[in-house]
Amino acid sequence: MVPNQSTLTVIAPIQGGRHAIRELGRLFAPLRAQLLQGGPWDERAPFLLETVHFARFVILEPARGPDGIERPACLLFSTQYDGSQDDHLDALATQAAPVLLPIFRHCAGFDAWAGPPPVALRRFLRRHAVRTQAFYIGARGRTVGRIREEAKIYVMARACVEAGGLPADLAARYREIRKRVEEQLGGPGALDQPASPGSIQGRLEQHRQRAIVGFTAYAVAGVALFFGALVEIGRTSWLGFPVLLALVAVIAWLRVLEGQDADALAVEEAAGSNALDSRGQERHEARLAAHEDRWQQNQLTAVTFLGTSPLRRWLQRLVVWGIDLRAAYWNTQGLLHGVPSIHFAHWLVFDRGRRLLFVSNYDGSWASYLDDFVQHAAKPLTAIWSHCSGFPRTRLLVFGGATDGPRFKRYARAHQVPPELWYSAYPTLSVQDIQRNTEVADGLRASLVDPAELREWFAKL
Amino acid sequence: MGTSIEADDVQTLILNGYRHLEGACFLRLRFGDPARACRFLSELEDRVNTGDSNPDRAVHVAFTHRGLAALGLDAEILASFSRPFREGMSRRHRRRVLGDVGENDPRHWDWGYSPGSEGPGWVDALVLVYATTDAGATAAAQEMSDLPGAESIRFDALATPGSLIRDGVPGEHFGFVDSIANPALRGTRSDASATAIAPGEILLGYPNEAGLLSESPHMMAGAGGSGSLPRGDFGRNGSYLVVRQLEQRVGAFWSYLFQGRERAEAVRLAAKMVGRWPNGAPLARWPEREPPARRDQGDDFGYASDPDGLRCPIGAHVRRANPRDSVPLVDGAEASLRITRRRRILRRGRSYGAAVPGWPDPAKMRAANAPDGGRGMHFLCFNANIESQFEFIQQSWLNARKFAGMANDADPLVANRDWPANGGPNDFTIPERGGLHRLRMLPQFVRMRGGAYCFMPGRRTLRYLARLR
Repeated sequence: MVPNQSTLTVIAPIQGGRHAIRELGRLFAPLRAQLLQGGPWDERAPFLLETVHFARFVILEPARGPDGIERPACLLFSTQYDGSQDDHLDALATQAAPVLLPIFRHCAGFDAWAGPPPVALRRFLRRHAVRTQAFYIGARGRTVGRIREEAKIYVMARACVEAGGLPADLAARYREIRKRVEEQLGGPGALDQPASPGSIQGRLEQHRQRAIVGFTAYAVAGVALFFGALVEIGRTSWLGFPVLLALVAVIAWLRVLEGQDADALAVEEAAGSNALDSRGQERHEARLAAHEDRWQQNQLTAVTFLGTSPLRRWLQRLVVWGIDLRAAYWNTQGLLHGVPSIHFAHWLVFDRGRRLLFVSNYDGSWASYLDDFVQHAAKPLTAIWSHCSGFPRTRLLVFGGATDGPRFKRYARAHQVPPELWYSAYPTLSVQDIQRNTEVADGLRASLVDPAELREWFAKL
Repeated sequence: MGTSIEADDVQTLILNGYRHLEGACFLRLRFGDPARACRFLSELEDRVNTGDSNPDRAVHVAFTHRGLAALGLDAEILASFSRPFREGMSRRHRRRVLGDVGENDPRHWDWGYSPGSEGPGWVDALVLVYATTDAGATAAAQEMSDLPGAESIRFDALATPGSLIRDGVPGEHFGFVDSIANPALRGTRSDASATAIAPGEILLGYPNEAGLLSESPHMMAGAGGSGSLPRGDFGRNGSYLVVRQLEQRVGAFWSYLFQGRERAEAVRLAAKMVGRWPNGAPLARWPEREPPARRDQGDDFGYASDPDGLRCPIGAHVRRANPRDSVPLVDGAEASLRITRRRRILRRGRSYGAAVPGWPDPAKMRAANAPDGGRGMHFLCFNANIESQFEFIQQSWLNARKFAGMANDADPLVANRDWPANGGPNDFTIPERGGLHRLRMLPQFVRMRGGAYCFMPGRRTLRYLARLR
């Protein structure tokens, strides 16, 4: 079976108002302290599973949407994990129960009497899990175990080179390193078995082929539709004309909505541009910053209200679906729209399709992450978030919007929610580290002999 | 292209690095009574140099956010400044952004921070004085404290800047030529350079490389006094000034490099770390040996033809600080240049403290065995957006251990070795044909001694400030 990475997002209303939120805060504080303390990483987070790459708890404060309806506070729990969702839910409900039970007890819909704790917990998680719309994986097909093991192999191989005393001949040097690493891993044969069933390269190939087929099909269908419409208009205007009219109508509708949004934005800015600089905003910023740059990895959780128009929600869905296709079949080499620093990212709508959630785990600083997006992917960003209230002025779905970097960054910051708890299974590794470590480990497993390949392998150390 | 700069309103230091003025004195001001501080500012305003000129004496002033607040500036204008400036350099989370932790922690600084909001370390304003000689600068600085209104202000001089001249051009304490490759601004005298950047990258209220006006503090229409500032643009013709006093451990640097190495090899390694030879010649052009000293070191080179860093290591200081046409993980020289043109800073640093005996000869500096401390660099730079220019370079290029996909390399020269906390000491990788050479666990060569985020206003804005009371 090919190892599979997936994501789980559970969102449930918090029961008991302010008091419950305070209680949750008291539960999270010691767990957070445990993560921040020194010492070996595995010992700091014993409550997390071997199969979890990243996990976070976030409290969404009560919020009023553009429809004027007040939403209650919610608890958000999200993981990126290895294996099937069933196995993951089982593991959470049993192994992580001591930590999860006291937390989810504060959520509406948690029925402690539904059965023994694992049963109740599992039922709750399943019931409140929200379907993911689009999911991107930076280091595909690699389990937590494999990522950690290959990081070890890389360090071992590097240490051999740095210690010196190796033969001058490249092939002999490689054999010596291979022998030493093998010994440290537990003796001969330790490098012979593939780290995981199914090679990544093979999977990538398979994905690429599906992608080519998929995109070709899209292109052919698109061109056919276009010419079909033209021919129809030319011959019998009774079918082509309505199609064209519908398209014009959708664009006109979008322009009207964009105009309305721009007006609303202008009113908002004129009335309270200082809302961005108010004391509340300062506090918000301080809370976000307090969680950032603890390690070289960071996280982002953003919640935005979608516009109330059906066209808005329909277009948002279409765009995110396109991103999902792209993430699944095209951006398979550690780059999402040219952004190289993302371990995992996903989008989903919740609150009956009224709110958009974006969750990501990334390398480096927030500023550089956001700048990467603005520089490489302003159009897709705009296409996704222009359907949300308060987004910078947009024209025709993809123009304007995120190209105004500073304004977009303020928007993103304002809608970011600080995590109560955020866990990474390998906080010192970047996406490029993981990629390189796999290449180094695969290079050792492959028993290289070709001089060119050997040179290439040594250059990676 | 037709943006011309209102140079007469811009403080000259932004337009001119004053290479010909070898004397300088930097004063740290703390305001007392706001009315008398304003009186002082109105006197100072007459003396401040603006315009693209070449004076033989110059005075400049820049304010911190707390300084502007102390003068009684309107809260709305104060709130419209950019976040890093409002928060100041020593705010807790900024320490993680800048690597000011461990040895570099603000608690150990000489100035720029105090526990509590009213301690003696804080800065309200900086007055920068330049003259042809050290004595001239000292005398000019003395005059400042005799101006009317100055009696209510506390003046502290920062460590005295001095000129280190190497081959007739400014140098720094490790023995290298410094202050090469500053960006030229379009719309100024120097914009003949093909690499000139949009003025909005440095000056507030002008078009930047993205074609947008750089963000600038402003006042609401109709607010008192807004008439004296066009469009209520409070920041126009001003710039954010980053000041960091960086102690350089010259002894530690050269004794580390000379460990078990001949002079030529030690200098070669130092050049690999810096990315330029001691005389300023870029490794990208002269990878093997230092060319004869030339007066113009040239800024006309890139790294795109050296993707593996065989000539200039990818982690070398100048290549990290400005990757030019070869930004890691970015495809193509064009795309890289688009990015780096938005990440430039205009440096105006000066060395301070006496040079190590024998400077700039590495062998003599090492043999002199002078104790470290008391010498370094007043790093000064102008930028329009502290977050995406200075802080980005510091955090994502210099201190980043994962820069360019590396495992554990930070800037070999200036990075804080204690940061991030769980990383352990960092390495420096020198790619070479047939493998690579790695320096492991570098010692700390540069230590932070104090600093502040300041705003250097245009003349009109300075006048507005002087008339607040």
